Amino acid sequence: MNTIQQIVTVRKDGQVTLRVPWPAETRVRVIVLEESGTEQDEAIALACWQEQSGFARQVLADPAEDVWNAL
Amino acid sequence: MPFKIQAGGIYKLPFPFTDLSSKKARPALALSAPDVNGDIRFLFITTTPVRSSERGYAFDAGDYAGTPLPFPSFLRLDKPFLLHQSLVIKPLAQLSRAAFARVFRRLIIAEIPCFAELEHGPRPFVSGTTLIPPSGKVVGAPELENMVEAALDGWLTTGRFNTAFEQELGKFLDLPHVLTVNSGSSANLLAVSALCSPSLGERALQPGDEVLTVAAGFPTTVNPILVNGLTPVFVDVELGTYNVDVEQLAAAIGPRTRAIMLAHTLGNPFNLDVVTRLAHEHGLWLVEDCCDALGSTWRSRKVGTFGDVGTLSFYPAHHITMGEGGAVFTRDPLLARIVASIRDWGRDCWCAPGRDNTCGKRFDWRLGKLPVGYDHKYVYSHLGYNLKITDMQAACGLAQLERLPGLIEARRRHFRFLRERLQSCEEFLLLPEATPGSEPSWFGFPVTLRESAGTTRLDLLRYLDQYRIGVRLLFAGNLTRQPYFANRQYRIAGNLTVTDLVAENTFWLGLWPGLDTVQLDYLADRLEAYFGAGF
Repeated sequence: MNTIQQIVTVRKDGQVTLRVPWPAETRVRVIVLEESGTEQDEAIALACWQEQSGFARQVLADPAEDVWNAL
Repeated sequence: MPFKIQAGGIYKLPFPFTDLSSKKARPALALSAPDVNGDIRFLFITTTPVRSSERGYAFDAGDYAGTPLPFPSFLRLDKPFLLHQSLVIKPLAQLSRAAFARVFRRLIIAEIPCFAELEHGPRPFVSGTTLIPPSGKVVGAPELENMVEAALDGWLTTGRFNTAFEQELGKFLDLPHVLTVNSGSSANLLAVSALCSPSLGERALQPGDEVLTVAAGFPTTVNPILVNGLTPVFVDVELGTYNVDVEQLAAAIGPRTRAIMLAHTLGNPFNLDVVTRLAHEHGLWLVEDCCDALGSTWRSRKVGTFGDVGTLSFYPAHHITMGEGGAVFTRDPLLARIVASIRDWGRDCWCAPGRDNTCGKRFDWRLGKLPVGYDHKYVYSHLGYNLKITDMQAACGLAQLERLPGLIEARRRHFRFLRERLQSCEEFLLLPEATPGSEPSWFGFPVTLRESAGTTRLDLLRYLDQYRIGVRLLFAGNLTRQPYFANRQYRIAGNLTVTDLVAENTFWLGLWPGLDTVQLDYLADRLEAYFGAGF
């Protein structure tokens, strides 16, 4: 899966413009995070991409894995 | 953060990773400490078992240094995550050093199948451009995985893979004693040298004793006879089977004849009914050189199990390979002891590498003229060498043994294909015949150019070379005509008329398992075109 990361500024009307390399009609997933330049934000962004993986969504998110919550 | 994150630790991470409320959490193994950016390579652990299409395995209680995780725990090898240390909630457990090393071993091995497919997988054949080699190896992921395992062991010398290989090969041959060596030539050297051991008493071969063999073969079938001061007696061969003429073999037996040493030529067994009867009647040792015949049978029994000693080669051209390598095998425990001694420096001690005092009397022996209690590890009862293999070689061989039945069947199938396909050329080429009573595991497809063919072997081989078709001669052809044979001590029984014909007009085509019928068909097409046959 191809991903891109861009840092853009929100306009006065609250909108942003993204230029993406995929052809028209391609369905894309957009996740927007506030950019503060801190290490924590970058970590969250990195983690955010990875939690979209099939393994995270199908296996780690399985309620059977909730046994680990209380440890 | 009140704790230090270290490689081999299992940590609690929020899930989803971006849900910092920590309502949900999952355990993950840290493969590394945080790098300069604070990132850590993690493998997640689930209580859901790993599916067959996924890579992973279960931890057991012994894998932990300390308290284990409280639920069934499956490590997900094929799902690495790079996450920042700031996400880690707390440590949960720690793997033992050995268990953590095992994780890396599995990670390293897990990548091999993809590599093997790219590097060693089938490639398209382009007629006239792609080389058709007469022999070759078939190796893939299982061999690479085993060799990497052996390398990761760091044992290097003969070790666990060798033990397993010798056991498995023994099962295949249905023989109790299999000893690996570093080549088929070394195997032959050991087989003959063992028969000269003083440990055999009056049965030991003595310098000047005669050994019956053939000159149409590979030099290292005969060289051990010369090296041990014995006299090779060359007997002529038959056309078609390319094995010893058994009538002439019987006639060659003289008062000094003490042994027979013969190879099953290109996988085609020699007549074991006659040869074993002659050996028995005349009290002769029989060495079966099976370097080109692993899996061949005589009356449904594997060749190599009829004589006193058998030998194998695992050079890449052979039925199975470990790069360089070979084996000696026997039913006789005394011969096995002697072979092991000569292979392992000539020592009297039989401890495996890394072991001591297997006999329980290491400092209690008195042998030769040595002081009482001289360390058995350094007592030498034979003039020996070091001809052992490495464990990486054995690891490759072990994986090859798994393939062996399929490899043998492919060789037989290719032989049948060529035998049928080249009938159109029989006017020009004498096609091979299995010795009646045998089922060969063919090494090659030998043919002899008929004198009436109206061409020379040299011209034909040059023609095939133009079309990228590799062929081989029947090894040395007639050994007695080789440069190194000048001034050697030997005897020719009768004459070597057929052997000379073989040296002049015989060659063999490839049928190894890496070829397929497309290539074999192309090969046959080229031969038909050369002779103007098959139209």
